[in-house]
Amino acid sequence: MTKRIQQLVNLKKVIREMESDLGLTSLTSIEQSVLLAVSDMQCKNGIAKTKAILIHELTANISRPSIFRAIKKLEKHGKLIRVDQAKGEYLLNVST
Amino acid sequence: MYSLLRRHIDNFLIVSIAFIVASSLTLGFVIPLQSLLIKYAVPEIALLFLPHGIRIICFHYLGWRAIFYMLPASYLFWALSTTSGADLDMLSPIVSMVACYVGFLGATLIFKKNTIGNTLSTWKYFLLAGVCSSFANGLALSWLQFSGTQISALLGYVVGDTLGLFTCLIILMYLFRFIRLSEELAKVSD
Repeated sequence: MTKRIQQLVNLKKVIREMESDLGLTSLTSIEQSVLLAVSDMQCKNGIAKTKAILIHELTANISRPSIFRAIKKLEKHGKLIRVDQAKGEYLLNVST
Repeated sequence: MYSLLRRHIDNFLIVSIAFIVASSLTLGFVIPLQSLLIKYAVPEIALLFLPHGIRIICFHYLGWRAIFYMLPASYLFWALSTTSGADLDMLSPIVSMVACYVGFLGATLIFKKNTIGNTLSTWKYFLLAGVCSSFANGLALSWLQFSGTQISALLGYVVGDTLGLFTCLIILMYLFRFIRLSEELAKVSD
């Protein structure tokens, strides 16, 4: 049973690697929620601040570390642009 | 002893189901579609042969035993293909399976184990092993079916097998995503 589970895990890892190499990685539900929250705030206020992202209705049930990890990952993949380093303000990257 | 037997039966069932599903898609969708779209398409050669993906994945994880696990399903595919009008030799399933495995073994000799997953992504190794395997399969089947190496037949087998393998990996990718999404939805509803 352990061997079969290990084989399944290995197969999943191969498929994940393929997704990543082909640029087909999908956002997790947390990343999607953060992106939608930023989009919502950008529409209403022109910009999305970190404090506001943390208390937005779409992200209120997500832990702070998870939200910060999601923001970091979205920035890394170019989906979010940090406008102000000190104030923690973000915008959606419309070119992607 | 019982657990060993149980493991073989489980492997046989999982592999057979996967092979039958892939074969059904190929026989029921790909071959009729290619006959419609390509005037000179030969029904014996599918231009998107999904079972090849199952073959390569099984050879990688299960070794030579995968030949025996897949053979019954392979003969089922042969029987259904023949009923649909394809003229396939009775030995083609076993020749194909053995030739594929020999080709796969050739790939394992070319690509050293320590490079797979390091300098060479495992999925790219699957594709390259699939091409080697398909080449051997194409040579063997074109000799069996057409009594000689027909370049067009060989090319058909290689293209069909490689595209089938790649499509199989893409289908697996979406299958795993669907499972992840279902798990996330289940967590949210709890």
